[in-house]
Amino acid sequence: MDKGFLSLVIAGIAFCGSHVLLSSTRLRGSLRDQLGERGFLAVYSLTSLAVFAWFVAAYSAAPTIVLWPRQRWTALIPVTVMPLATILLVAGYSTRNPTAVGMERLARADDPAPGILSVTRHPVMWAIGLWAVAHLIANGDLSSVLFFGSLAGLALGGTVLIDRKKQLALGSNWPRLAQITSNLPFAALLAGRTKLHWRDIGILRIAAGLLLYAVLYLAHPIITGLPVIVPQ
Amino acid sequence: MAIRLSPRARSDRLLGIIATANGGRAVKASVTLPAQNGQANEALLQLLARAWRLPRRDLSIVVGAASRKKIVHVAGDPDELVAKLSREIASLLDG
Repeated sequence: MDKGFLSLVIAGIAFCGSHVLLSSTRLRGSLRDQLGERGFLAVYSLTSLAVFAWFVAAYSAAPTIVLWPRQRWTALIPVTVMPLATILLVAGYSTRNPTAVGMERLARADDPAPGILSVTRHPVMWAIGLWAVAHLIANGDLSSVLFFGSLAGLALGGTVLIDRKKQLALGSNWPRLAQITSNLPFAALLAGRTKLHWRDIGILRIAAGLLLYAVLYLAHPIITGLPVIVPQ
Repeated sequence: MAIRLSPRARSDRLLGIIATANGGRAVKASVTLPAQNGQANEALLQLLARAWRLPRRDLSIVVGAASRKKIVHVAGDPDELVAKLSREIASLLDG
């Protein structure tokens, strides 16, 4: 196997492994007992950040092995999907979420699912998932499938694991939250189980999300070394 | 690596090997994007990265950014690259 590709595989295993190990195994409980909740979260965050940096470096040094050709429609997928992803990201980070780490008490609030949570109860995870899947399709090479596939798998698989944990942590407040929200974006809205909280989301969050999209689009060459290219 | 690039073509592809005016040889390539704001150059480098299974960051245009005739620099271990690229060039000659 190509050396560059092999180190990408190793970095990918390390990233997925450390994430799952620290979030969803017994190691989490025993580390939290030893380090305290804050200490554990600090260790988890720093580990994830360091291994993610390694994963990114390995990806950018990995060879480009084409699996499917680049076409106009595949290149247009990120261009059209990313505005939704950036809005979910901005709104997700700026909305109090009972499924976030240590935020369980919010589930007891009068409205446990404010704003963007009427779209999905995991807005940030879906932002990462949409970003990753869209870029996987547009790139169409083996290294991209590995890199973006791992990130999409962790983010979207993570929503299911988080739901399972929160179901236990929230107890009787979980059914109330689950009733008026959905994991899949827009599913609860389409099923008529909730209404879109336009006012709560606010024009400011949508504008900030679109601004982030514009910045990422224009600064793509600076951030990634590659401009956004749409074949004609 | 010497390249002769046709922008605004029907497809992104490597077309073969051609003889150049000064007696050398160049890889003939085409991309669909126009020669504007470096779009065709970027498309060429991505095409080469994909065709030759190299990281895009290892490729750069050192001569002829504004010309159809270009020299592309390929970073990496010289022995490995010569072996790898010789195979790729040979397949272009066959095809």
